[in-house]
Amino acid sequence: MQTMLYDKVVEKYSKIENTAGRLKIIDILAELIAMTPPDDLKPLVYLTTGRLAPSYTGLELGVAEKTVLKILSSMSSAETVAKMMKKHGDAGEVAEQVVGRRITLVSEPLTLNRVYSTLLKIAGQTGANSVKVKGGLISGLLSDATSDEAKYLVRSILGELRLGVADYTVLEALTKVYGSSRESLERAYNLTSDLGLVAELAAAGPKAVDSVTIEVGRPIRPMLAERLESADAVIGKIGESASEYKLDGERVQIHKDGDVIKIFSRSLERIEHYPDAEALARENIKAASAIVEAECVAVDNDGKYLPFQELMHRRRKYNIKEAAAKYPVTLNFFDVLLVNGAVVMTKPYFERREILEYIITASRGTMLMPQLITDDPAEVEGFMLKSLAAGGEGLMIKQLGAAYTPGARGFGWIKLKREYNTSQVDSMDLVVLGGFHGKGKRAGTFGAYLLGAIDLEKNQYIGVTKIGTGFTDQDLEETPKLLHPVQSKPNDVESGMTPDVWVEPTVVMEVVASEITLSPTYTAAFNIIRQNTGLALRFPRFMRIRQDKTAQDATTVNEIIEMYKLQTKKMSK
Amino acid sequence: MLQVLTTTPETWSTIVRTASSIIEEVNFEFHPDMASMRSMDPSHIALVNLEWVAPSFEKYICDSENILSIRLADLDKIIKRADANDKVELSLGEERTLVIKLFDGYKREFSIHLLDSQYTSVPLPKVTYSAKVIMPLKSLRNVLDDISAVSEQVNIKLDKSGASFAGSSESGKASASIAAGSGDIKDMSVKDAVSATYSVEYLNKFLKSLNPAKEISLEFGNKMPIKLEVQLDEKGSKLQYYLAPRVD
Repeated sequence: MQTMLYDKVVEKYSKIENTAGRLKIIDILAELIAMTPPDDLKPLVYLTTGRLAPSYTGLELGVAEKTVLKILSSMSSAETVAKMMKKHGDAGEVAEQVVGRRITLVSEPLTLNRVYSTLLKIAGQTGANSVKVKGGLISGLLSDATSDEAKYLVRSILGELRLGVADYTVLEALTKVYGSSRESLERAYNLTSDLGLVAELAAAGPKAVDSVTIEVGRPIRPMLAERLESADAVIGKIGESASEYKLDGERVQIHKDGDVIKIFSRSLERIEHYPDAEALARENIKAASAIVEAECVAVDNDGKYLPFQELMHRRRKYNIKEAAAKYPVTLNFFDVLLVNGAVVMTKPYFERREILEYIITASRGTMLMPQLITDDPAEVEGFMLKSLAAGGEGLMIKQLGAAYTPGARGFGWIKLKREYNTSQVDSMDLVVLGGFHGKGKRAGTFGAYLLGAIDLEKNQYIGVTKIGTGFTDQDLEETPKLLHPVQSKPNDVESGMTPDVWVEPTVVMEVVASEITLSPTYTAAFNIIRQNTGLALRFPRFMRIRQDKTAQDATTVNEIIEMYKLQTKKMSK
Repeated sequence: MLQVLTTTPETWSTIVRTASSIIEEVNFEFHPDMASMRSMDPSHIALVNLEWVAPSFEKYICDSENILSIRLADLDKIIKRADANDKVELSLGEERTLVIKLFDGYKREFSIHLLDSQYTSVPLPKVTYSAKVIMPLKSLRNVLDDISAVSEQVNIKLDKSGASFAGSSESGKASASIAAGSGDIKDMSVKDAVSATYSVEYLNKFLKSLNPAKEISLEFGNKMPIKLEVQLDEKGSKLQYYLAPRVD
């Protein structure tokens, strides 16, 4: 049997790390994929993208940095390791040096398979003795590692392997190696949320890629909406359509398999902090198996919707029961993708809604999203006011004949938020790219942040503004804890403005701004509106951290261009 | 059929303590002519090697190869129950268990479950040693205690004039030397001077579990693993400890 040596893998990691430019990275990644036997593809893809398994499994190694440093100390000395850690700030580099200077009694070359299966074993350890057992397993791997291997091994173990290889980069490399089109691989990924599986399918050929479908227990990338500025524009675009309330809660995808309920977040993570919603789903979805989508919204004693901030009290790992009693939720169902084993995702909206009406039992905590079918903009506007009065933030307007398109943003769904006024543009979800050291009252923490939008064509996060307003003292204290500083600008980040500290682009902030302006500094939509000029946000203001969104869900550069055009249109009115 | 008897628990106690300082589970091998055990710590820095010949036992019956996988903590608890003069008898029980009988005073019988772990043979490091010194264990432990007052590791030098030990850290330096021919060196052989550095903690893992009245031999070379060896008795049974060097 062919086996992939871990040594070959880290050789490419090192190349990727020292390469700027996405196209070159795709080439290197394609070389790595091409030399990997099919059996090793899943482990390769998971490890390279900084995971152990598909993200939705929530599988984590749970190894603390201090555990690794203790092992490294036993190979060198506590003093040396502490000194190196102070200098490099990266346990991976410390491991590289310690292992480089250490001699073992015997060793054998590491294979990718052994690395991966050992990491799985580490993740599976629970109980009183687990720290010790995990330590032994890590020591075992390090005993056979070369210094380069040790560096990447430790980073993988600590979840700090930041190669800047995005999921889409892997899809492009797979296209290069195996020939399935980028679109069909993306479709497979949107349906399965399992990049490792997609790699295996790609290796098996285009037929395998195209025949994959959704399954209960495996989250599907949510369908996304475009936005338009008025009811007139929406009806003008799609005609008779279904308006639904857009509630200010957390969008969830609920998978039911008999009595087993799994709830996934918008970012496809399994969430377990809504036991009340699980019970509601178990009792009120009348189907043996189903995949449905709903907005999970906190309500007060009278059943009135509470704003998103209140729901965030539920995002916790401990005292879940107490929080559920204090901030109960309702499920407001709006779509169905699979029912009793049959995939209904591809059926038109109105049929799916009929199925949904059939399988959902209305109860104190479960209901269908209020809906109005009309081709009259005035009725849409009236419905919008009703939604706002009920505590909603606007409407989702849906084409009656549109299928559910996973992961795609299109005019099948159109977001209509409360009336825009000229003094402020709609709120945006931007990715934190870096921090600026604070001064005065904010000394010792970040005083401001560099934020970026996602450019889906380039697959990069592009800096669009520096934000320092709207933070409470608590925000200023808590935000840095969510961030992972990196030594230099990540490969998937582009910015005309350089922060004091770059961070891994993972945290999403919701912000509002007074307007979108032309900027010689920022490079979003560079040369698109005007030569040598990009777009930037003016007077941005922090609203909140969006822990329910991933960087991939951020506002896109194209959306900012649309908003800019919308804004200039309004000003000329 | 397996039945082995020792007149005291001392050797068992030494072996279990030494091995459990570096690993949690071991394979004891019983061959018709001797018992052996070879285990390496997970980092592959230290290795314990036991050769315990049949004549060292009061009674040794073993008519076929037996490999017993044991969790050392289980065995340790039982061996600790033995008094210094107790006889210790091991045999195989029903359903993959090891039966341990302690007697002389009153009779006691314990059984522990054997593990299902897969057997993998541990190779001995391939090393050629260029120097050897034999010291009373007590002297070596004293010297290491001196060095460890300031340092986590010890550099050992051996030349014709004797052995010297040194260590340093941010807090300071320590050194100790023993002249050839003094009572602290029983025997030595060295051509050219050799020097290597080892972790004091790992050396002590072995040394602390031994009877201090014994003599210990040290064999090593420049930047090579060190091999420590004690004779368990006069019948050829021995316990060895290999330790990888530190490079700085």
